[in-house]
Amino acid sequence: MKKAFDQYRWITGSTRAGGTVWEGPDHFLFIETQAFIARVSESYRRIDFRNVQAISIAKTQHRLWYNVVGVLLLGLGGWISATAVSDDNSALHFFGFLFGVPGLIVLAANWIKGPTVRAKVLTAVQVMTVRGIKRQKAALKLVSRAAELCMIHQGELPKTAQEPSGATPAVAIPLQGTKTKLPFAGSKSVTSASVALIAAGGLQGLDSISSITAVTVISGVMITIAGMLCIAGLGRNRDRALPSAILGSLWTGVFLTTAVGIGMYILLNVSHFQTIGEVGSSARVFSGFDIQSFDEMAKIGYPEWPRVATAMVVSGVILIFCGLIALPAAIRARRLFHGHPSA
Amino acid sequence: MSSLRTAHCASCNAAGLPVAEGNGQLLQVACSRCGKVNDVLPFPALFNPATGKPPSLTDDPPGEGESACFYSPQRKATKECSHCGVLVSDAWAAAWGSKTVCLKCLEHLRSDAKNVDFQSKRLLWDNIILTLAILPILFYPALVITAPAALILGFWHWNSPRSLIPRTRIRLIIGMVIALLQIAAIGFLIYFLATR
Repeated sequence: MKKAFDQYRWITGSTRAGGTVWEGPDHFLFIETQAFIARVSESYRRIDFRNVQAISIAKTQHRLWYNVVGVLLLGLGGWISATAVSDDNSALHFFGFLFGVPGLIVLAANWIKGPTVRAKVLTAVQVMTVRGIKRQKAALKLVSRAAELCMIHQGELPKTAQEPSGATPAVAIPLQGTKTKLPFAGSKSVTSASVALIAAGGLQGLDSISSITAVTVISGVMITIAGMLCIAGLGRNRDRALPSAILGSLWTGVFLTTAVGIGMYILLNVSHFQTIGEVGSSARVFSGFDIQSFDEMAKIGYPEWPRVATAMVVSGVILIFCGLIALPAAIRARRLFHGHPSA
Repeated sequence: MSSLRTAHCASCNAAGLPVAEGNGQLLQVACSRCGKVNDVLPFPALFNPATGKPPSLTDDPPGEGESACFYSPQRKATKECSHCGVLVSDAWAAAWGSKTVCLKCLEHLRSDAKNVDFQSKRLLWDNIILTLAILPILFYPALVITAPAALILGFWHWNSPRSLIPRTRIRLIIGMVIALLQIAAIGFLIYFLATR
């Protein structure tokens, strides 16, 4: 696609995304494409720089759904490939790739492109959705250019006599190009991750002193959830300037939950062999991933058990500590932008 | 004392974003209706009483010796349409870039779509013809109709405006070549069946 023609210069958007935004001598040109299999028509909207009153951008959930589709495809491909390996079926390998590779591409592209947004341009007589803008990067390009062009054409802000209402004041962020990170405005994913870290840490500690199988299972599930929420918190806020307390806590949470997961996987296998080897034929024979074998370790006198228990307690304490650091910071940020934490 | 106006939420479309004077700064505001945090860039036009709302259409009758609006004689003519030249009031005039046109001309120019500055929509015939040439291959009996149709449309719209963003006729040519090959294949098939 050309970046300039006649008197217009391309600002942002793509024909694949549904439209493009162009800068004219005194107006924006919004080219929207209508497609049925191929693009069949284009419609044009022009808005003078002097008539633009505001541009608003809000995040959408589309990115999450793209990720769900990507994960499903990848999971399906992985499952088919795993079946192919166990069955030694080369034809199934092809189908594994057929689903897995597109899934991987969807996930990678979605990650690189960044958060999905909806942008609207407000004038005195219309509120127009900019169809060509689907990602935050594209929206910030428009905002960056509009800030310059519209301010030049509209001049200085005239003073009005209207009194301010009791509404929540907005927080100003100076524009310094499209790579500027927005301030952290609080996030449900970060708050959830903090709570999950505290819960996972507590359960981890409890599991070290308890031989109840249910506690081990719940602890494992909670650690997995906490790890995933930490990744979600980091991913969803990667365009925001996260406070170092939250950033450090979430990254620690990611690494620690992964390490605990790997550790549990190894221990379950080790304890399986240890149970059979040390107790002998009179003992119960556990299968490979029998969760109960983990809880039997202390009983059968597994020599490494004290070290394992200490590691579990220490990791549990660290997880709780991370959660306790991140949670107040997340609530504070949410209060600042929304007025109250439940907003 | 700062003034406060409302912008529209990009999520729920409600006028629920209270914004103060930003002066070129991106603001972060939560929508009072849906609670979604929006990044808002307000401009002086939002705070300017003259541009902050649609122009009012108060009656302004022409005085002695003043021209009346061609479309609303009870109003004073203040502008001249740069396309048809009639004198019109503010209510019947539209600023279109550097030009002022009356609403009748604006409607005509937008629907006529011959003047590039006023075009509101274009059909991308090159894409349509290419799709018409390729897609029916999946439903090959339809080629008897679609291949000649694609070729005829290709000649018919050879000079029709393509996308506003300049591009070559390559799509159109490829579509016509494919259609031509399909017609040749159909002709060969008919000849083969007839002489067998």
